[in-house]
Amino acid sequence: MRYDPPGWADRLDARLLRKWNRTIRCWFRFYGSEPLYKIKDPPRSDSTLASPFFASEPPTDTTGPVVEAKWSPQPLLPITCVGLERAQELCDRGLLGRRTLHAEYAEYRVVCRRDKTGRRRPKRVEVTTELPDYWLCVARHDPLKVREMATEVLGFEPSWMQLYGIEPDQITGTPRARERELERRFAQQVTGVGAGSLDRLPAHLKDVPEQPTGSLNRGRLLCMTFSLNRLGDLIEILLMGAHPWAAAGPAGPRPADFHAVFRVLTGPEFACRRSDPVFIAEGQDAAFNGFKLALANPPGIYMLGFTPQVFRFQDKPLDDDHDWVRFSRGAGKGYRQRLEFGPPDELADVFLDDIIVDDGTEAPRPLTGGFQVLQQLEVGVRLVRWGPTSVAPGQFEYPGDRRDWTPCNASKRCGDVLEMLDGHEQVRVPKS
Amino acid sequence: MGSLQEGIYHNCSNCTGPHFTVLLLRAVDGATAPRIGGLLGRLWSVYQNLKNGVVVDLPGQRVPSGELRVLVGYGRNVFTRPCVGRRAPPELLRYGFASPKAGSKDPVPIMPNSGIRYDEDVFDNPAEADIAVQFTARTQIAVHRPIVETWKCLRDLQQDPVERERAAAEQAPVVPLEMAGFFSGHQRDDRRSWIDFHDGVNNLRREERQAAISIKPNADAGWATGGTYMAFIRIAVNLTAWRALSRTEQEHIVGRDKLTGAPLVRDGQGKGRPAPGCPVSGTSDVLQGGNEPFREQRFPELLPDSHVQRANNHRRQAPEFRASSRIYRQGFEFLEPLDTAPFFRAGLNFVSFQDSPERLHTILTQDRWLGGRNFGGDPKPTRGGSWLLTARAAGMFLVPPVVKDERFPGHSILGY
Repeated sequence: MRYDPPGWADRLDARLLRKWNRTIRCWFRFYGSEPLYKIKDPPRSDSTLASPFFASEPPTDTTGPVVEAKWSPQPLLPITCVGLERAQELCDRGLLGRRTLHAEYAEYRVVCRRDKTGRRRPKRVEVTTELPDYWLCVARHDPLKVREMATEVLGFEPSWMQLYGIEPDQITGTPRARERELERRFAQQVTGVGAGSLDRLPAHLKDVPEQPTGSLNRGRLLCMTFSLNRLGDLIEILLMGAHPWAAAGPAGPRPADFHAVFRVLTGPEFACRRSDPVFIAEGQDAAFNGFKLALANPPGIYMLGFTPQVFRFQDKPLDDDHDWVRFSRGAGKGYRQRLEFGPPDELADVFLDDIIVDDGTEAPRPLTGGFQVLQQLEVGVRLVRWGPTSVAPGQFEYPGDRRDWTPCNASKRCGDVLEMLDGHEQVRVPKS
Repeated sequence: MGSLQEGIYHNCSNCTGPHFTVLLLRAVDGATAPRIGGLLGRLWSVYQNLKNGVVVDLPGQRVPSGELRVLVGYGRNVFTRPCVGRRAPPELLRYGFASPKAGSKDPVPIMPNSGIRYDEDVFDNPAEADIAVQFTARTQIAVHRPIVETWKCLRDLQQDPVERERAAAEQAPVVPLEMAGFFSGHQRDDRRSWIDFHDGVNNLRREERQAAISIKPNADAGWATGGTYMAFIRIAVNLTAWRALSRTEQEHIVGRDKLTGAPLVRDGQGKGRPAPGCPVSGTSDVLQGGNEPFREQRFPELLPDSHVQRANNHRRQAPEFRASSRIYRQGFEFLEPLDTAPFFRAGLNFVSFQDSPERLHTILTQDRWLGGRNFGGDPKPTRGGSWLLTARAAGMFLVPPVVKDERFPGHSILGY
């Protein structure tokens, strides 16, 4: 089977589609050979992430149902670490918040404008779930196409300098060398390379920073850049879950406890997020019961649900059809990857904070940023599930019954969040 | 870290009886948190005595306690009282219920975008209380007696000359709490609800409950770790509207076969049919042994607009994780008399426990959950324009943990 571009948002020619499919297969191959257990003295040393219960693509003849692994993309870790109100302040803190905390496969940016008095106020929120790997793939093989995509998203045609830091025509060499250079430069300018696989990056991307340095995807929002919001990270966590994780029981194997699974797979931070436990649960449930999974076509992170009715303007709730709710980058409901929410620039006197978040409390609050918008979003990944077949005794993975793990609010990542909070509060209240 | 209060059925030693009341107490004007705490401490002693069969007006006598269990919760209002000892957890403030509005043209949703609205004649929500006390027991008298004993205690205090003198000196109310109301209910041994369908089939398993409902360590209210949040909604059911629907319509709204309780799955045409093989051979009901796999409804082919699908939209996720939005429901049906035909009101005391009120908020308000839906099916009133479900009261309460050396759970909130 051939995967189409995420959300069927773009029309790709056959060559580009092949390249996109190759990118997906490469990540499966790369992570499939990684050891399954991430702890010292694992129960089995020969287990790899590759799983007979997760295919790199579904068989063409499958009629299995499509299931949705879905979650709220509002970042949970900072809420646990510093509380709801401070988490909101930090996540809404521009590029720093995006790069540090938007860890649930959705990133946002707040567009600000000046009002009549000259005060800078939030005007709109832009949210994206677009995978940077897809953009990078297109950019490597078809600069004109990626510029067309960027134009659609931005509303203006970006310069080659903004996209690549150079005119593509000035890049010379063999076709393969040219592609690599295009990829390197686009990664540098627009996508970064993330953190999930830094040690295994191809040589031409070794010197590319984790986060992009160009202005296009820093000051604006083209696709996700958070270090773990990438296709490889998604595939890795899906493969981690898709094993028959079991505990020995008197009547045979039973599903293993989640914390026992997390303990042997990842750090505690993963259990403190919303999305990763969803993937582990979906994979374990399928594998334990002998079902197989694959990414459904087209693979991507999609905005599956949005509840704008809790936002009120001039005492009327907004709804899905309101022209301040603008979805794009996807063919139809359930396949959208981008949301712009808020009044357009033509309404010069109306701002985002004129919208009231009416969540039932006695004092409804103004809408000030993306954190409140994410709360009303549901995002997810579609998976094809087929089978079942029987699970052979040797296929069960036994993570042990140790449930000990670091509480989320004491994890290392929380230390990073607290550090960020410290910096934030120093900015707010300069020390004398 | 403290532990969960009693009255929540999360392990064998915490079995709750089938009878229920919830008492709602409201602070009067001028009441300070320490004064509320003093009175609540006194009431707590009364309730502990009742657990031992000791009634204040029957010295030396013992009455059956009915295995009474008492749980106390705190609404957001109590955190606004003077001299309060703790800051309200932001989640309690953010994910509360809306107030009914007197004079409103349309019935007010209990939460924005919730399809459940306050009844047309509800202008004052008694569950917007400072304190809720849940009583569960094996007998009806055991859950009714604390209501009367509470009244006695408040009345005795009101008439106590020493207290009156002290209150006058402090320019404070003699009795800082008043009863805002109480509601009672009972469980059913047929495990069905008034709409005749099975209810609570897909509730959390006992072993899953504590992990889903205990507040995890957090930065907002670390002192509440090990406690939980209790939601209470008194829901009236419009049986006239319900019975105007055909059995097929009812089954599609609920997502179950009315007789056997088998979950409905989509056939090739998208219509519902009972899950193949349910109930298993030799049984006639989904609750009978052997049908366990059909109770959790992990089928991807469930009817997308049915109540069972929308009430548990993230069904394969581990309940302890917030993304699952799983809650533990401990509901009690009710039937109360009315002065006019049909001379009764039937319904459900919806009681749920969760580690964050965000979970219930998601279920009741989000588009792909029950947001905009009154119960299931289309987001519209049933035939004839009336709503199937309406709320008589709705409240969210922090249920603090039991902490060693605290006089009663949550004493520290009241600034002792």
